[in-house]
Amino acid sequence: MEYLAPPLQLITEIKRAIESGASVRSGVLVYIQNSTSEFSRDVSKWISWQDRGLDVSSLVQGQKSRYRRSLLELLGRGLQGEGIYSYLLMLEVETIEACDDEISRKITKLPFLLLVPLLLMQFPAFLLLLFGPLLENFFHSLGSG
Amino acid sequence: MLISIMLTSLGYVYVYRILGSSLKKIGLFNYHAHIFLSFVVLMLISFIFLGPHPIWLWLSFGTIFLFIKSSPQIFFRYMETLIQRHTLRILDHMVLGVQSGHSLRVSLAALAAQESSLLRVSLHNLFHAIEYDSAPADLGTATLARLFEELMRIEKSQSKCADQLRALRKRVKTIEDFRRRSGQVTMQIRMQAAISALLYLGLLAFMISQFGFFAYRGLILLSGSLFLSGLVTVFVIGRRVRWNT
Repeated sequence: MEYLAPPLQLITEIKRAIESGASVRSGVLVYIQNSTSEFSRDVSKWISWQDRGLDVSSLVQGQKSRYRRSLLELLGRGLQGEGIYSYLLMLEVETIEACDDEISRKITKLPFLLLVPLLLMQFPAFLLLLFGPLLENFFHSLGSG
Repeated sequence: MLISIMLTSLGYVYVYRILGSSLKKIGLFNYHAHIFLSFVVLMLISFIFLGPHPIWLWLSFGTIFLFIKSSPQIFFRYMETLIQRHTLRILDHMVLGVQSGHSLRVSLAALAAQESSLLRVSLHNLFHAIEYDSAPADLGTATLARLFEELMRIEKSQSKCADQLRALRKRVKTIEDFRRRSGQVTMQIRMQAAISALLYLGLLAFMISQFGFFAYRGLILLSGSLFLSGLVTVFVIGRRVRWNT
């Protein structure tokens, strides 16, 4: 799991680019260069489709998270020269809240998920080591008796 | 005895050269090498004159050699965590400095001067890198190189320096918060895997010492494969934990 959710990483890069006087496009390119996530590959495809003037709506709608969809739509407006900084800040706040919720849910769910291999596989392995020889001896003595 | 002393002297010179270059990489002075090597001389004398056992001598040499060779890496890793832990404080200080009318360089120099920990060396390096616009590769750690790039960018922009520093601090804080929280997820998985593996190895050693291996090899194989599949499942669960947002 990466530290930052991919859309939040992209928002950070674009915010940084805008704050330092660079374009939205350069922020997107820096993100594509630095990130190795699945989303960065989608963003790379998205920007190349944009450059070739292709319809990107299918690519945007194909994103499973609505935050990713909103971000790509907003960036599309930004690439056309519209000012998006204030919207980006609002989207950042919402994305951070969503990430907080998601990570809390994951932290709550994880111990139960980890119990499954522990109880179904590792615990029997421990029991086999602990009581296996004793039981084998016991059955062996029963058989010979 | 003569051969021993000759070999020891050669080794000593070799160790001295490596230690000197390692300390230079870290940024410490050469007198640290002299202090360290005086202890080595004492140890060698005690080995040669009090208890000349070649195995122990070479083992000690090897340990010292490995330690010296890996000391820059250990140091840089330690510095990396130290800088990560203190980045927010450094930025806080710089924001305050810039807000009170100082330049970015002056606030960084003031911070470096008043720092008492090992961080001082890194802050001085950072200050000199900004002062002379030198390559970030000289800074040693990735976090410091990133900080250097950010500070250089802010300094070169020449406008709204405090605002840009505040934005940088906010960004670093967000990343820190998420690093800590996502660290909880990965740590939980790693700890469960490590503790269960340790317990299992301990139990396996106990079982083998009590009952022997060959008599119960089928049982051990079955138990081992069950345990390993559990361990693999734990890591698969860990890999599947991904951001959906």
